[in-house]
Amino acid sequence: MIEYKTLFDSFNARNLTLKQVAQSYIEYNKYNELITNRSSLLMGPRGCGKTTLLKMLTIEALIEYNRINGSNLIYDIPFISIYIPTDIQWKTEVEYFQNEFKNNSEFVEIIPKALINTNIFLHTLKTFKALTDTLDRDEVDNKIIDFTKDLIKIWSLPNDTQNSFYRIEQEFYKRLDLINVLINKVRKHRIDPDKYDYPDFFYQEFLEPTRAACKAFEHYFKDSQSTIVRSKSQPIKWALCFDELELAPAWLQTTLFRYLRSKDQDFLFKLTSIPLLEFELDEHTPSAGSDYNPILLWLYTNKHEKDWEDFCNDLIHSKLKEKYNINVKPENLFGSSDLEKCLKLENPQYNNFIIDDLPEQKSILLDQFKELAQKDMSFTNYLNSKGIDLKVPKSINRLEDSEVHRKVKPIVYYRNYFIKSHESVESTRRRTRRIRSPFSYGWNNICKISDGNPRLIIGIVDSLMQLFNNSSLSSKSEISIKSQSEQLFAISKRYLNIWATHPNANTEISSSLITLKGFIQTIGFYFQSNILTDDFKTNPTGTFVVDSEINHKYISLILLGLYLGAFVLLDPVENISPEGVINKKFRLSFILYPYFLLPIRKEEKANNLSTILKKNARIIENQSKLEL
Amino acid sequence: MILDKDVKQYSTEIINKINFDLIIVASGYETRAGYIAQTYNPIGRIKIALTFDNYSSLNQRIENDKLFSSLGYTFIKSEGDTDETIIDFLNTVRFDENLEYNILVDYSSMTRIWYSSILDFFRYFEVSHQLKINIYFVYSKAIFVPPPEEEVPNRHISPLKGFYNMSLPVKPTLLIIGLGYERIRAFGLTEFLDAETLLFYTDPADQNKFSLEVEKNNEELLRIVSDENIFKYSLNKLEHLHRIINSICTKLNENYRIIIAPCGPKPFTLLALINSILIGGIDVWRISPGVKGLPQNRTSNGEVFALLTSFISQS
Repeated sequence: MIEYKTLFDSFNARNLTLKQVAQSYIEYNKYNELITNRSSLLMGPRGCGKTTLLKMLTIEALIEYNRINGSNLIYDIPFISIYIPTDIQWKTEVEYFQNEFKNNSEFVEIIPKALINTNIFLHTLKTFKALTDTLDRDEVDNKIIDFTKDLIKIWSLPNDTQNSFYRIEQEFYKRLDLINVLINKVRKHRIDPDKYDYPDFFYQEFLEPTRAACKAFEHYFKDSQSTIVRSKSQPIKWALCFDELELAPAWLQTTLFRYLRSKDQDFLFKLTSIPLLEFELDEHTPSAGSDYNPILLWLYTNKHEKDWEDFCNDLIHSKLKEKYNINVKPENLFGSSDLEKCLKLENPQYNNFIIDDLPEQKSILLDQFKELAQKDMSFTNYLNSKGIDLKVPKSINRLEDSEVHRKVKPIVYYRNYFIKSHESVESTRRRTRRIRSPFSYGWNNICKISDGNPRLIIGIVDSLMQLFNNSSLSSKSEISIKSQSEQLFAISKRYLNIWATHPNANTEISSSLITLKGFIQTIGFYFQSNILTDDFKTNPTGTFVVDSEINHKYISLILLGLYLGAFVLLDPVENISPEGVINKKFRLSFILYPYFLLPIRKEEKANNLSTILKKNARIIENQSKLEL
Repeated sequence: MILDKDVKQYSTEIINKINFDLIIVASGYETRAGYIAQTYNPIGRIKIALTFDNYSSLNQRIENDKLFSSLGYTFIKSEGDTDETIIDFLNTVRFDENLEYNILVDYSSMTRIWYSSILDFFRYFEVSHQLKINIYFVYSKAIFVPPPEEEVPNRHISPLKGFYNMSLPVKPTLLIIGLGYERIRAFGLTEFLDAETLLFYTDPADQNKFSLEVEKNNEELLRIVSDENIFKYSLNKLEHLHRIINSICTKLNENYRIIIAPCGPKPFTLLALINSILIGGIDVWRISPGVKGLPQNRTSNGEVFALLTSFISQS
């Protein structure tokens, strides 16, 4: 079996069986939104938990979860789920096939359709089997024979197919074989695809045969002794759970998306997708809230941050026990991020400052203000504009307390740390490319920079745990701030470089190769200069709006960045839109903030992307020497 | 025809021991393209040199063309990314006069499409009589040249024509990568497919500079993947490598959809193709920069590896 060195690899739900997902599942309150009796659309980047949540709806996962935790979840969910996966391997095979045979228009249409139908029917069959496995054999053996007889007819399987789930499953694999033989024969010119007499199953749609199959199940088993079946409403509601909608062919995406609007008596639709979908809006377009429940798996409100931190506590506590055999709260290992605590390490004299926050004589805040004012004329100008005289500490009270702490303090501390006395802007810029932020550490910070993504936080914790490799680890020890900061910078940089290796992470614009890495760096260094080297502002730009002036070729990079988690959409109300990314607001993922030396702030000001690209025209083309 | 499940590695003596029915080489841009033909001058009833459609005026290409012409090779022009020319040519060769044929393929300077299409041709070759086709694939190793400083980003990732299957996402993907020394190729594959990964690369103890470069440039990936999923191999032990690949693929095929993505030495690619035919359901994919700059000239270091694989008719 495949062995994992790190937690990171073992947390890809796509590679886990339904049972394994249940065994590693940590309760997440988004699940409660998913199990409502309505269609749902889960949206989020890769690794945010969409597949895990969807797989946790299945009978096999719920039975296992029930067994481990004594939970009654399986009975509380008002529907029965059929999980239908897709993945990038499948998508790529279909696209390659369609390109190879592009001159045979009917052939390239019906083959993928037959594959999709076969996939749906196969997973529906698996669900039926899982359900009947919970029943008493004596009760159901005869019923299974009659039921499978019906399925054979419904799904247009050969009449001589034996009446068992296993045999039906084998017939579906035979269909797959037939499809591959057909493709090879067409490739070798042994068959003319325009003249071939395709079996009926090539022309089937998927919804009505699936409905008929589900109805047949109810007919035979609704009165069975199964507590699972009996716990559902009658007639049973079935949830068709399509994972990774963005990988499905366009026609299927449109079909499934429109199904979100339907008031189908038999089916709910639970779909997952990247954070933004582009669809033409018309009278058939489903409406978020009234037709379906949108569930967004990234951080965009304070409440989500709190829920996310609670989830991370449980997740990482459990993983530390499982993988490293230590029973410790993550906060005990990583500490809690605190700007002043960090400054005290850099400036030991601050340890004698008794009062930290108030602008009294021996306050860190006042000291930082004074130090920055001495080397940053723009900050001095800001203070003057507010009527603040640092010789009179209490004049800082002219600023709203919230303005000081929410906006000004982190900017001042960051600027003061990175700007040296009498240094030119260009020198500062060059130097900031080489140094690390000492402020990136602490459990609360780690939770924030993982941005609502379980795979990301597990990857971060794994990397940080490497620091413990050669030293003993006890529940009382804490990883040093300096080590964490350095490691978080390295992790931040690594993610940027890893994303850059994606084959779609490049596009050509006016004969220049524009890379995703270069694109992200242009935006990131623009934000960095706003905070560190441009004139002091209380609200520097930290987000961007994709305006219609940008070259449309950047859109593919933005969408890829969204999928990978490099960009975060900040307009969740409009996550389905005919304009796609145009006029939407984004920020960089917090995981990139240590690399760009950016403080995590709330309410960051936005600027148009076209303005950012013009100002920072040093988009790095054709990246050299990626450092992994 | 059925592909024999075993392969056999030979010393270079085999090149002169057999009078081949057919010899296929590539008259490419590399100095090593002509090394085997010039050094061993194998005897062949039909001798074909595939030539690339472009860059025909490059110096080394002119030299290679002259060499092959002097050795009696007939030229066939072909684009590097098409199999049609080779398939069309092989369709003109008669394999119905004898029971057994010996073919020599020097794939040192061939594109993947070219030598994979030779295997693909015989896989689907229909005969009504008893027939055995022995294909001796010979490969001349190049003197180590460091990878270019400036890496060209990944642009294309796709299955290899004829060596992929339509699948159903019932099982997760398992990605088997034959590592090369270009840093970003392997990572690009793992990023794109987001799959479980096994790694193969040439043993540093055996290959010196190249393998050390592979280890250095893939350090991050080698750190992440568990040691049990990392396999080192030697070009001197290709039969052993074949057995390992075959064993892994056979065992894991039940629970995974397997993609082999060879990014390193061509003998690994060859064995990937062979196992894809043998086991069925195994895809072979490639990742490339998509930029066609001037080709690199490589010179043979004198080491030649010969591997026999045979097709047998079912009659």
